[in-house]
Amino acid sequence: MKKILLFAIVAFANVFISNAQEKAIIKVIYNFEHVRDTIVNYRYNEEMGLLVGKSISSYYSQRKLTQDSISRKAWEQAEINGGNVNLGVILPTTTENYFVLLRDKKLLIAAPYQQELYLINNQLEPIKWSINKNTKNIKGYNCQQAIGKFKGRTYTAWFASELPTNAGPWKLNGLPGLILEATDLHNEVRFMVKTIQKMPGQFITIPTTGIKTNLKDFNKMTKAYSNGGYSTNSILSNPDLKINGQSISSSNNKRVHIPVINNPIEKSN
Amino acid sequence: MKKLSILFSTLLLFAFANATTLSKDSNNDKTKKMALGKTMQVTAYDACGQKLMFTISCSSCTLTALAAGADSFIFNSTDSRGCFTLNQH
Repeated sequence: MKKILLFAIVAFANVFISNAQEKAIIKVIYNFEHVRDTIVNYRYNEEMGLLVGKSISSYYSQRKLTQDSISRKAWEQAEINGGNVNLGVILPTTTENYFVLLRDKKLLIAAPYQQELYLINNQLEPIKWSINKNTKNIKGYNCQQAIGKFKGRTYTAWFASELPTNAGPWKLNGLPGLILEATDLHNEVRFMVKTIQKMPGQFITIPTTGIKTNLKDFNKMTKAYSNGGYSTNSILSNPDLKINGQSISSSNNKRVHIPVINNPIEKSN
Repeated sequence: MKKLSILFSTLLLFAFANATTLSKDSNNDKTKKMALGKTMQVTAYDACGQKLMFTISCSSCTLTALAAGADSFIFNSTDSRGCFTLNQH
């Protein structure tokens, strides 16, 4: 009897709990800046979000969330009215979502590519921070300065120990308080807090369904596409799908374009 | 035994709810396929204030496929600054 009950509970859990989920206790919106092209001094900027839970944090593009929502509504409206689709202003966005598993010291990157979701598993790389006595007030929080080297850049970070978490934007973490600001030595990469919200009522959900891979293989695949490889995903391979009368599966429309970045955020491994 | 039967009933209910949702989704998808078997005009603006207009058509696509096709075209028409490279299309 007990065995049957246990089996039923396990079966129930397997069917209905497929994603790891945690309630967010803090939500931060950052303005991210990156000088991607040093020749013309092009400074890319994007609104990014960070959800912090007790043991997981999730860093994602807030701009992408907003644009995707507008786009979805525009298509749904066009479907109902049968009219034109106005997508509004389309700006470049970061597509990857970074999940830091603070207790397990792991970094999971969920990267959508060619209509597939790739789950890239990494060990969390510890940053050797040197904490200084310098302080400053950011958005009402007393912050302390720390300096650390990561991926070929030296970052100056400001963290708030009043917000007790080791989390921070992107791959920056490991300080005894939430990182609210971080700037690299040459002012080419900057994360500046815009808003902080406690108990935002959101959940962090780690995706479990996707193609599991590692960073090396993933980069190899994207490079192959940009070097003349073509999309092979089933949606875009449909010969019925036409843009301006030309099949999207033809080489001109199918070729994968990757923006040129001559000053990557990660300068070394 | 009573507890066990309640548990299985709950499981069955969840399974039924799931199946109903899947069936609805499938019906919705069929509707989309029928409704979208025509040409639609898409308009988008870039970071430089330029306007991009194109037509997308498909006789056997879902709404998701049309949106993905348009996304792919826009992405491949945009440079690293977020400006459309209109002369190439």
